[in-house]
Amino acid sequence: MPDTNAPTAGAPAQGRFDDPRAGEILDIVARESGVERALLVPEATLEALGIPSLDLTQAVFEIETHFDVEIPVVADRAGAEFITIGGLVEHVLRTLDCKARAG
Amino acid sequence: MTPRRRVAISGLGVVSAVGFGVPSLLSAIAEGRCGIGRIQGIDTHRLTVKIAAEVAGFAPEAHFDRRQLLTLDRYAQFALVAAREAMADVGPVEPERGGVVLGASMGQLTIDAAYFSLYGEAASRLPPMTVPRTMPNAAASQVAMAFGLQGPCFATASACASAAHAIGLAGQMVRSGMLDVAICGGSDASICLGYLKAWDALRVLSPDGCRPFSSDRTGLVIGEGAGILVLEDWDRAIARGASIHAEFLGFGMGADAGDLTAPSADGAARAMRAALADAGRTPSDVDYVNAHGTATRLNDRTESEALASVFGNRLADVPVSSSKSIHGHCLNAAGGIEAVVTALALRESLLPPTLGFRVADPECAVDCVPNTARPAELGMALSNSFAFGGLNAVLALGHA
Repeated sequence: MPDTNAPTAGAPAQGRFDDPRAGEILDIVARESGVERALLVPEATLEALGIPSLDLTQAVFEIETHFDVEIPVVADRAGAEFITIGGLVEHVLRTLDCKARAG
Repeated sequence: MTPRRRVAISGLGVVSAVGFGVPSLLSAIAEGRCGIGRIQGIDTHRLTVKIAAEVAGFAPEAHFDRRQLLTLDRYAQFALVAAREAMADVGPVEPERGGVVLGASMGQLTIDAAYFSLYGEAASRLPPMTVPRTMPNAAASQVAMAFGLQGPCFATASACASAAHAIGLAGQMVRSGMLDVAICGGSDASICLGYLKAWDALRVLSPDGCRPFSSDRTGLVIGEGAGILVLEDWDRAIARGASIHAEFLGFGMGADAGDLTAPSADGAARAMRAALADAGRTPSDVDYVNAHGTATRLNDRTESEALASVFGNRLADVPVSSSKSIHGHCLNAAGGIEAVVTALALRESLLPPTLGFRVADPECAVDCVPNTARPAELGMALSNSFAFGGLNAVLALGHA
């Protein structure tokens, strides 16, 4: 069930990008992919940015290390959350929030 | 039958314990400089044997950017650095006419670090690049990517003969017309606790130095590095005004099909004869043999027996040296570095010395060019590689 705060797929709310943790996530993606930080806007797709899957895998690994969290790959949406930068950020933030709630 | 083309060795590249680049290897040969010393790169307190031929002063970040390095085990880094040197003068290659064949190494340092963190530190996950860095074809693929070569690319697995098999197959592919240019040889970086402990258990490592053919030899010394050759269609190399270091003449290989680790003189002799037959030469044409020469009791005795069988009464007139006494036993890279040494011997008219030689061994009745390089006009040479598993590979190279 979509929760009320969730942005619609493909058009993440800018509000989530103002989350300070989003900045940390994007810093890591920029560093691991070599893509200029300014290009990492919510609607940009990883494909259009030319970020190969191996770089993305490495970025997710570094994000996990940074936040000390395990980022799940949701089986029934395999890869879907990693199509856009916004989707990636959203997925990570959601995971972090879950972890925070679980205490 | 496809007409055979001549094959030029038109590029050489090397990384070894005696330095970076062909000039440093050549000076070590000429001056009798040995790259073996106490292991500096890892903690040795759990090792029985504390010496190796390490590549010192290698700064990966000087050669690769941070993102590239994530995907590169040290063995692939060595391969790329040596391949860049070898390809420096080759210029553009039509993508589908260029290939890469390298000896299969295993990314031992990456495996060692990953298993330490998994078993030793109970890590919950491993770095995502662990598999792409450790796969035995990683270096070959990285080299193909670096030079945009889209022809055949693979890694040959035959332990300490891997790089010789790689060069032999690459030479056959250029000779047959399948490829115009092949980057071949091998690289290895295995100086880590896990792998050295495994070698320790075999009781073939020397605690005090590499002394091939010397009666007081005590075993082999593991080294690391890369030896890369560019093999090129002879006419193409001539047409572009390449400086040709030597000629690839032939390749012989076979299996002992006997013991897993103990070498066989018959098997070694068969491979030497096969290389000569492939090159269209006879034992009397051979002016130098770069021996496998590991400095184990058994190898040097068996290899000498094989040489006696091939060269008969002429053996005393055929210099046979082991350059492992200079750069150590570089395992999957050994055949590559030694092929570079052999090509340099032909090019420079200089017999590489066997360092560390002290006492003649009646069971190794060869002229091993003891301790000092010796000038000599060389028309053709063999480079021997004999591996665990009873796998033998011999390259025949000629003066260009």
